[in-house]
Amino acid sequence: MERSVSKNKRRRTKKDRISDLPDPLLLHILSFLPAEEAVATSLLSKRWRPLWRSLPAIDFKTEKFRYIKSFLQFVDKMLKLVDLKSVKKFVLNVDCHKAPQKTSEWIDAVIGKVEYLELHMSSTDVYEVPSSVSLPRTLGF
Amino acid sequence: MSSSVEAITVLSSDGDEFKITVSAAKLSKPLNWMLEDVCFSDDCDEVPTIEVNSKTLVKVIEYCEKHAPRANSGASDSDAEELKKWDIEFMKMDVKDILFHILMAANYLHMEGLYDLACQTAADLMKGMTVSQIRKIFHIKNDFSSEEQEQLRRQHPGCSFD
Repeated sequence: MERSVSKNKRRRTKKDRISDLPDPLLLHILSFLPAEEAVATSLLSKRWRPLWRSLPAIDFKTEKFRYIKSFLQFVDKMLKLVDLKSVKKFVLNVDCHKAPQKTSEWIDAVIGKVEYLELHMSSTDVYEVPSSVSLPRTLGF
Repeated sequence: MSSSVEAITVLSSDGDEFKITVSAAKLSKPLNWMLEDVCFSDDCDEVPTIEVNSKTLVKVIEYCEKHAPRANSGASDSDAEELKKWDIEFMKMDVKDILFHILMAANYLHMEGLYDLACQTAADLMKGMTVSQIRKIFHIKNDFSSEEQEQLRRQHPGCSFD
């Protein structure tokens, strides 16, 4: 009797299919998540542990963090640990008024490496884009 | 390619027959190659097999047929908006059961639009969830030892295991 109960239980255990997917597919899924959520998936299991370091797209959002200091630390740390060669798309949502120096450092770190760079600056103050960024003339710069 | 051919018959990995129109098959390179083989082959009775199960192939063909007119001729913004709405509804259908198969099929059939849509859907299931909630949704087993978990906690102070 006991044996049949445990058999039924085993049969009900659902299979973990997502972890069987190849790395490029899982990385593409992670690229749709905000950066901190993509990194958090490394805590799921050993299969997921190393994936975030090869993310093809990183999306940083200040508003996801309660304190600007934790956001700055997070981006700094992630940019050091992630393999920038694999990053094709880099999106940065930041109030640059709060961290103009850091914002420029991050742009310098990724420029020339990523294929696509998207910046969302919420500050109304003037922000001087680092000289490493060549802007199209049509923008009037 | 003969212009008289409007649809081809393909077999699923379960051995069921499905019809797919020529314009819909163009959304996938491998499907398009199969179509050219069928149209140019002398042996027209040969039915190509697609390594996708019947349940998933029904969905893949449904997606191809819906997207084919826009992919082949371009469309207005209102069409694009309508198609976006359709995509959302399309992925709502028993998504947990076959999302995995759709992801694999889109990858295998080189269908960029469906691949993005399925990956976005999987990501949306994770968005805003805790680590343990994501494990529950996808039946992922936590295989870290307690020492490894302790080490990870120190490395990711902002992330929670719960």
